[in-house]
Amino acid sequence: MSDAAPAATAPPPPSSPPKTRGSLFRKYVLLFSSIVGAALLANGAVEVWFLYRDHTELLLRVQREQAEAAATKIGQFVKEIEGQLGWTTQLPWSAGALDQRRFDALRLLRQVPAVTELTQIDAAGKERLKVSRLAMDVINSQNDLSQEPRFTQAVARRTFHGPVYFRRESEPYMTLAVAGTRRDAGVSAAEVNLKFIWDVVSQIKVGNGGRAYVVDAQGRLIAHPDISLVLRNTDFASLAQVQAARAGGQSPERALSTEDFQGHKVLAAYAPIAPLGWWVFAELPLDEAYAPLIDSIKRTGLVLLLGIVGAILAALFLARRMVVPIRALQAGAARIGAGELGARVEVKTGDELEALADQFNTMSTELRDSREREERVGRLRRFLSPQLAEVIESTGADTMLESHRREVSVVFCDMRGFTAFAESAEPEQVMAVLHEYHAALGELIHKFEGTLERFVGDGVLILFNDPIPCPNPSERAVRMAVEMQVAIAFLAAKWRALGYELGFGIGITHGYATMGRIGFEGRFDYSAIGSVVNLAARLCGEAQDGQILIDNAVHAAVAPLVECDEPSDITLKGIRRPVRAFNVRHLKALAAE
Amino acid sequence: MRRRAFIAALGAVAAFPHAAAAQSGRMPRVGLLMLGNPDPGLFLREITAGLREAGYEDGRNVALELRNAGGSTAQLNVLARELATLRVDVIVAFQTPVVAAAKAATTQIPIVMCPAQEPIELGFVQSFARPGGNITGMTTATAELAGKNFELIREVLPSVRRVGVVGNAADPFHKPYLANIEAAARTLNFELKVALSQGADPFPATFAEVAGSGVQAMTVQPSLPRDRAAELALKHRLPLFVASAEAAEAGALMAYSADIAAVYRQSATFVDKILKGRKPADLPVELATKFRLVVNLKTANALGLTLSPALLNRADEVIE
Repeated sequence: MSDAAPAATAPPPPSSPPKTRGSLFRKYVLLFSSIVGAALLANGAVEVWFLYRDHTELLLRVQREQAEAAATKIGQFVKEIEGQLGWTTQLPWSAGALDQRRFDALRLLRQVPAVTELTQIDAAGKERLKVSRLAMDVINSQNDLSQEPRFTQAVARRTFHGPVYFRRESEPYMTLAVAGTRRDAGVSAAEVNLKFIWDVVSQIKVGNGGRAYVVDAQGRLIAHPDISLVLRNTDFASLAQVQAARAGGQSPERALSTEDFQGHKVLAAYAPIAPLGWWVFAELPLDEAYAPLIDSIKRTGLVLLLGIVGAILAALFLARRMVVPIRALQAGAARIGAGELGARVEVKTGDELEALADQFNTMSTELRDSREREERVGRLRRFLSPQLAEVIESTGADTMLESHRREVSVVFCDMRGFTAFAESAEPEQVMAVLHEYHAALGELIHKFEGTLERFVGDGVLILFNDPIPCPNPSERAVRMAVEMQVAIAFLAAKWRALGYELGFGIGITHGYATMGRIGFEGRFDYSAIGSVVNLAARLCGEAQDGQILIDNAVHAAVAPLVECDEPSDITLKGIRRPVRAFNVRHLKALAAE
Repeated sequence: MRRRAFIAALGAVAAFPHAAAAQSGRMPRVGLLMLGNPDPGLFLREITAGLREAGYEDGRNVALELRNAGGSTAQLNVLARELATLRVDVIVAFQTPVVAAAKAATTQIPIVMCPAQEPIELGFVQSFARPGGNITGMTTATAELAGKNFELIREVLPSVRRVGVVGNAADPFHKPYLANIEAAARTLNFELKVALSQGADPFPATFAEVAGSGVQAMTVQPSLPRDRAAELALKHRLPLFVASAEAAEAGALMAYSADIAAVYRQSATFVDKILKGRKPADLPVELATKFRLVVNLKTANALGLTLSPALLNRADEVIE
């Protein structure tokens, strides 16, 4: 999000090169993408495993079912021949029946193409009739077949399934014999051409490249889609699947992954053809069997890859969201460290980081305000006592310094004989005297919480009741003046010892004046303007050494507290009417308390 | 280095189409060799149908080289050598004499018997299961079936005592054929009049000679001209029994033989396997599995014979 970018336009301060830059970012990206990647990988692996298991299970089941279906069909093929043979054992062995039997036999040959030869044996085991597709028929040969298994086994068990043999060492054949139900019915034995099973197995489609085939109990191939293999009398007994079938036969699995006779990897399932002891196998090449699985694994892998790429992108995005504001905060802190107070950090993430940035901004603003306040307090200290300055600052009244009009008591004092002293003395001596003088006055100004308006050489202007209002400004002014006279008198005695003839006079007035800042940007002063100020200066000018001249208004306020000389009306320069002035001699004892 | 490999790869890609074209451009060639008499019509129809079933079409993905000797044994040998010189991929030989001619012409090019009789006795193959040489294919047990046809004579015409036989001296199979016939005659108590025809040309004269010797029924070796045999038999008012369904269709009274159309068709599977790279030495000889009784009722009527319903019932095909 672009609005998360810091608004800080100032270049990062060179003092704090971001040495650790990117480490948090890298950590976040690594952590996030590895967690998401691991989750995706685990999910993919589990999915693939289940896919593999289900797919294999399904494939084997389908193949097993195909093998079973084929086994059923082949079983039916044999059963059908048995049924047909059963019909030929119905007639009794009476004279003249042979012709009828021959017709029946010929009909059977017509109906069952797989039967190449049919032999009918009477109850005594004598061959009575042999009908063949290829050889000439033999009627009533009376050959003794009573010891042959096709006769003995059929009589004993009603049906006889002979072993597979190969005519001309090539065509697979089997003898199938059925005994009649009647005691004297005899036996019908058929030579069955097993090439006809080819029809069954070649119709079974096992995938595209798969096949079904049949082996006999000895593992010899008797039916295969490639008839050439059968006619070559191929022995499959050594194949793992055939061995498994012959050995463990009835295990419920009846499927395995193995190799076919050409060494190709196949998935083989098998089913027994129960009465014959034969086995049907359905084989599917592994490549084909697992092609869909491999496809879906590829798809899963692709999705996984996309997921991990997405996770990395998301991690980059999230880490950026996290780190960019932190860097903005870092840069902001660096700017503040470099002195740029009030530096702001813009973070719009709508979360804790934004709250943090807001707090940072608040802190920064407060820092700047506090610095400004300190500067203001510093300025105010020029006018006020430290405690007053603090009070004004804490009330936050910048407006106090705004231009305003108020009733104030104004104290003006300076030294007598200073001009002459300054002319005659060394500048270092002048400075030393001024220093002692100002130090003494300053202490008292602070004590009485007066506002030092300005120094003019040895002249000092002090206000009361502004900018901080105070009770009894005139009284304070007078008390201060009295103490000033005492303090300066003490100094003057010292100076006199040094040979400096210096005195001290004070004028105090009370009335309205206009106060406020004067000056220009970079150099402001707090100043009082009005006739009351001029009057104080003039009174001071009139005062003798040791005198404190106060005007009427001051006198009215402090009369109960002080002892004054008789007032005298003084004509002052720049003031038309004479002004009545009182010289304060000392404080009354009561007031001094 | 990498650049050189790239250029080499480019060259290989550029060269590949030529190689591929050269390979696919050379269509496999199948020689169909026949004597021309008896008529090879059904053989040609069925073998091309069989090849089509296996996915081959003349001119598209296989080139069929038909060579018909017009009945001349000398010409047959010439054509056999021609096909050998052409180096066709496989020769399909129609009937035993043609297999013999092809065998004489080449021991390299695979030969498919379509069909041949007694292939072991005649030295075409070592065994049914493993032919071992360049010849394999179909066989139809015609020698045995000759005996079955004699059985039919006894069954249909119980009064017959003398049977005339014309063998084909040009067909090496005539010896086992005649041996079987003689064995069957002994079993059935027939008197035989046997004569050999040197191929198709002297056949009518030979047939006439036998027919005129007081025989009551006739048979001829299936590699002799069928139409001519049927025609002559009718002319001499003699019932003709041949171990060839095509003969019954041509006018012989009846025939018990392999389902010859199926045999021709099945021969195409050998061509297919050989074109796919199998060795004829490893392709077992296949014996026909279906056998058919074909009765020509028209001929029976012409001869004034009444055939029993049981027999007609047994017949797989009755020509009316």
